[in-house]
Amino acid sequence: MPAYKDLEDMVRKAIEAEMKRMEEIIEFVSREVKESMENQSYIEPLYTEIRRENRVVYVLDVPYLRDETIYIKLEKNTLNFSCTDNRGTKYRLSLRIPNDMSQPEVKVSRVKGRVCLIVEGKASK
Amino acid sequence: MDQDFEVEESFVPNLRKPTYMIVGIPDAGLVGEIATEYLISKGIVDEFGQIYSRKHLPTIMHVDDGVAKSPLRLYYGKESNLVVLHAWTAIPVNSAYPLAKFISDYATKLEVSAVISITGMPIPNRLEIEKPNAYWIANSKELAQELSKLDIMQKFSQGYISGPYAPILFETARRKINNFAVVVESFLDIPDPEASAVALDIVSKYTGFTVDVSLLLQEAEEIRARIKGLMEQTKRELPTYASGKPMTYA
Repeated sequence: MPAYKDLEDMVRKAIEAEMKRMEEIIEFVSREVKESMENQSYIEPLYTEIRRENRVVYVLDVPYLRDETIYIKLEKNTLNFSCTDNRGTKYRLSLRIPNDMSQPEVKVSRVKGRVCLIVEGKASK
Repeated sequence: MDQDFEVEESFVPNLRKPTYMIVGIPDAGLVGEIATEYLISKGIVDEFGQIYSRKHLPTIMHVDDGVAKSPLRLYYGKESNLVVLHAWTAIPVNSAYPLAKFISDYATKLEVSAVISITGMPIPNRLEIEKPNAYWIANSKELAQELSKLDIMQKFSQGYISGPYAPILFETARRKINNFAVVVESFLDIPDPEASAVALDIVSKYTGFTVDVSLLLQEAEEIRARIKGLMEQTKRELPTYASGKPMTYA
């Protein structure tokens, strides 16, 4: 009967929606657990920050660094850095770049065994 | 002797004149800490005493070769005739004055000619300079006149010194004990063994006992790896000394 079918459809749709919501929750929790476990295997390097006009210099201390493992990604106002040393220790660091810095660009160099990240914004006209 | 701190000595060093006491406490760049630890690790000085305080030391013991010891210890070198006070942990700000008073009392007891403090002066362009400059800060006019005659470091003319070495300058001056700080340009919150090498070179020339710092420079990377935890601990402690200001600044 049409009335009975409508009710069955409604219940089925509600169950499907609930299952979809549960799947999303499980996916979110799994992602969080995975990220948390990944973070536990990383340590934060020592670093110092030097601010100048339209420029921020981060000096990171990673002894026994393997140069080829340096990874840098600039996302919005966050500079993500990761690397591995030759003893297998993984390092990760997230740095907040000043909000007033426009179109920042990152330059990486190794100076006296330290990693030097220079974040420079476009000069205002 | 100040009852805030107690000393347990395994022997009393047989000191010759002049005697110098070198103090290495964690602060900017761990410059003093690395310098005195180098003297210990190379066997230039040997342990002869532990300093305890239920009131002024954090609840930390330094484990050395399986044995828990006070993080504040005394060392002596027979050949070098140097007494070293080395802290294996950061010193809380509230303990700085009592410790300075203890150092003054103990230096009086040993009749040392001068207490030499080694510290860092954070500068923004540290990475760009090849060899960091060194300065002195004296605790009396007489000592300043003597140090002015030396060409191994410059006078730190005007500015401030904060951190664990500042009260030592004050307390030793009150007790008429010579004390000067060797202040070397350094990083603030990452270990700086190269600055420690400069400081040790100066101490070596001043005291007349030659310390070969080439090994310190060779081992710099290993030192930086080993001392990371102490730098993190010190980094948390430093702002309490100077309300966010660097340790020594002009």
